[in-house]
Parts: sequence; structure tokens; C-alpha cells
Amino acid sequence: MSKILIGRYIPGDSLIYKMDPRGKLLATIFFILIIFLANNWITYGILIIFSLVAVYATKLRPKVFWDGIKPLIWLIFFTSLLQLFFTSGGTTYWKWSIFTISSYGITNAIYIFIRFTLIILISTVMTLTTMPLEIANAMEWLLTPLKYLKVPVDKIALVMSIALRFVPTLFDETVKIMNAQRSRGADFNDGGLIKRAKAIAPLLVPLFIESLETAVELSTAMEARGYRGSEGRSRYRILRWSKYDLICLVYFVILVGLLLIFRTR
Amino acid sequence: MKILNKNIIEFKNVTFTYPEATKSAVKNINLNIERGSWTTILGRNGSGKSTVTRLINGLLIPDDQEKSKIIVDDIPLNEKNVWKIRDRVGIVFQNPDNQFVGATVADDVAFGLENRGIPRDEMLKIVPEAIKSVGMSDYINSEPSNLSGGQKQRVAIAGVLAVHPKIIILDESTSMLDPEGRQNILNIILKMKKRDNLTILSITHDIDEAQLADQVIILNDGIKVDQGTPNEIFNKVDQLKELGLDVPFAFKLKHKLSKAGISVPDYVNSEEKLVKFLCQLNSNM
Repeated sequence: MSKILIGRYIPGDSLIYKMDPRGKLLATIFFILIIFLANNWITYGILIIFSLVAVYATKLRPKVFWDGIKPLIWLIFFTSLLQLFFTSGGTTYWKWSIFTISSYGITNAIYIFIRFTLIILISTVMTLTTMPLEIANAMEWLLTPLKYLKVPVDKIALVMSIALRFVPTLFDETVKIMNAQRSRGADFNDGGLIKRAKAIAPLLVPLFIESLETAVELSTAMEARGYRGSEGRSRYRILRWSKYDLICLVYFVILVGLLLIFRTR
Repeated sequence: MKILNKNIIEFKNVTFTYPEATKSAVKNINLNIERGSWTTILGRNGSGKSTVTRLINGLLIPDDQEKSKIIVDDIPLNEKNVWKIRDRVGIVFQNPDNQFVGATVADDVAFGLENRGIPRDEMLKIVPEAIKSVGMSDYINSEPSNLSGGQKQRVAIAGVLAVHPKIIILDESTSMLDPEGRQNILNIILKMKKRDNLTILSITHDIDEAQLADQVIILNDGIKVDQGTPNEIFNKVDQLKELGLDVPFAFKLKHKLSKAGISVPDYVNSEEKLVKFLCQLNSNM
């Protein structure tokens, strides 16, 4: 499971690490929105250059980004191929029943491919350089306006940070239970779909019980330490905007400006 | 100035039954725990030890509150005062994993302070100090999954110390640790007890830990069976065996020796003293 890159954080000390997680989260969402501004070769070229600069700024090995794209590569190819075969227009090079390969299809397929790859790349830049806890803090900040709609943002934030804190603990627990069941003859990797699904039961049942017990013990401990709801609580962890976030903002202003200039109307 | 009661914890006729249980977990218990003392509660599994600690800070409410009374630091425990009492009592629980709330060491130590609404500027001073006092300064930003059990327990102690309680309850806090981790935790607690004049209430199966105490209380089936200094208690070897409890090695040997006709004086209460005594005895013969 260590191959899964989503949500993985690699410690580092480059420019992007010093940015505020809120800035990074907003920038990522914004990037996904403005990617749809691009509609010709020049604008796509600009997007590629800007994303590669962002990737370079993390100072991480390029291989980790490849690891991020790899699990989704089939989805990317599949979508690109659909575009390739089902778009008509421009010069048609090849036609067989419903399948066509046209010049429009080829360009569209390439655009889609670039779009997908860039979105994954930029979100990987964010998750690799931001601790899960910081992402949770940033989400809380984003949700703050919902307070006026009586949404319990503080409690949601606490739930998020506890959930994140228990991901590695429960993962360790899962591995332990799997090993314990294996030592008694359970087989998790063989057999057909139904047999495998059945093998999951001796794993899931203890895991559920374990997490419920953990929840009870944790809530007792929290209460003993004086937790009585979010009212009157102060905060130890705060987020601060820095000059690096200004750099990010300027970077995006330039990017949007260029996209708007070179975009074909 | 108001003269403080000598006893920091008082239980009067406290009974507690868990919902849906037929038998009471704690029956008619009277307790007096002196300010600044170290008290150990011994007892078999299911004897009601943990229930007693949860009664002290109102995590559990005794049956029939009119007849029973719990007083902590001169404050009677009731719905209105429960938070005042929780401010004065810190508990370190058994499982180091299930009491770690924060995502990092610093966050966890700050959790109790956050709950009390301490301003951030003060937390920035208190948190590193508390972490330093348990020797975890190098791990201030570590995540719990990267810490050992002993280190997590040290963080839990730091979290308790940060809020400056008067009483620390150790609810089998060392039972999941190896001997070195256990010694480490006990040393930290001893040091803090001296520095801040804390009252310690420890629940344990560890006989060596029980010997650190000023006073030992024995529980069996929810009833207080005995109370006394470790010396007094451990000399009753046969009685303790009947209750399914262990006795320190020195006391076991003393007991066997006295059965064999060699009487060992009372002051001999540790292995070293016993060795010394036996050597002297040998040279006298």
C-alpha cells in the first residue's frame, strides 16, 4: 500500500514548503479552474511551462511525480482514446463505422491528455509538500464562512485532525490483524472474487471493534483532559501568510494574464 | 488564608454500579488520600481500581449521590464543580495510543491548555517547557506513529503537567511498557512530584511500583480490604496470596525465612537491605 501516493507527504525544505497551506489549497483549486481557459497550442504550452516550474520549485525527485501519475495512467489514456476516435471535424484521415480519426480528434486527444496530467501533477505538488494536518487546517479555514450558516466548523476540524491522526495507527493495526489471521491460516490473496470477499470478514470485524474501542478510550481521555466542546477553546496551531504566498499570487496573476492574452476567441 | 484540609481526596460511602451490571463495581468505599502523598491501589483484574479513578474526576457518577460524598481539594464533586475538579486532576491512561489527541507532540501537549482557553502566547512558553521536563524536546514536531510506547506515555505526562494539576492519577500507565520505559516514566513522575508537590495516585499490577508508595490500598471485588504502608501490607504474604496478588521478592523470602525460624526485622524492606542483613547474619554465626 506504500505505493499509493495520494495523501503522502515527503518532508522537504524548498520554496513551496514554506508556503501557507491555505495558499496552496486555494492555488490548486484555482489552477484546476483556469486550466479550462486554455484552448490552443500556445496557452497549453504556457500551462505546461508554469506547472513544470512549480514541480521544479518543490526540489523533489521527478520520479515521485511519475509515481503520482502512474496509477491514473489508464484513465488518462482511455479518455484520450475516446476523444481520438469519436471526434469528427477538420480533415478526416481514417473512418470505419462509428470510429473516425480526424485532425480535430488528434488535437483534442492531446489537449485532454495534457489537462489530465497537469491536474494530477499540480495536486501532487500540493499533497507532497503539505502535511495532512496542515491540509486539514487549511480546509477548516476555507469552511469558516459556513459558521454563519450554523455549521459546527470547529468540531468538523477536530474530527478531521483526529481522523488524520488515526490513519497510520489504524493502518498498522490492519497489518497486525492480517498477520495474526495469516498465522492462523487465513488467505487474503488467493481465490475468486467471492472467496476473497469472504476472507476480508476476519479482518474487518476486529478492525471495527478496535476502532470503536479506541474511540471510547480517546473520548474518555479527551474529557479527562478538560475537553467540553469547542466553546471557549484557544488555539495552539495557527497559520500565517508569508512572502512566499505573495510570490504564488503574483505567479498566478501572470499565468492568468498570459492565458487571457493568448487565448483564441 | 484558609487552612486546607490535610486530605486532598476523600471518599465517603461511595458505591458505583455500571449500567446493566448486576453487581456494583465499587461498594461503599471510604478513602482518605493525603496531600503530597503517593498512594498505590492494588487489586486483581476487575476489582474496581480503574472505576475509583474515574469517580474522582467525575467521568463516572456514583449511585445514590445523596448518601455518598467525594471531595477533591476541598471541592465537593457535583455537576457544577466537575470542571474545577478536572482542572486539578490529571490522568495518564494505560494505552499510550488511545490518549494521544494531537497530530504532533506539541499539539497534543497543548490540547489540555486549549480546552482551558489559555492564550496562545502563554501556550508557546508552557508547551516547550512541559515537553522539556519529560525529555522529549527533540521530538516536538514528531507524529505519534513515529514514537515508541514509552515516548508516547512521556508526552501524555507532559500534557498532564502542562495544565499544572495538583493530583496525577496513573491508571496502569506503565503496564504496556518494557522495564526500561517503565523506569523512565516513574523517574520523571518522582522528579515532578518533588518539584511541584504533587499528589500521586497510581493503579498498578507492578509490585516494584507499589513499593514507591507511601500508602497502599488493596481492593477486592469492589471492596476496600486493607490500607497501610507498603511494609505493613507486604508483610501479610498469605493474605495477599489469597487475593491473587503478588508480593515483592524480598518480602516473599522474608516470609519463608520466618517460617524456617529466622526472624527478619521490620526495617528490612528491599532486596539490598535483605542481602546486607543476610550477610551480617552469616558473619555472626
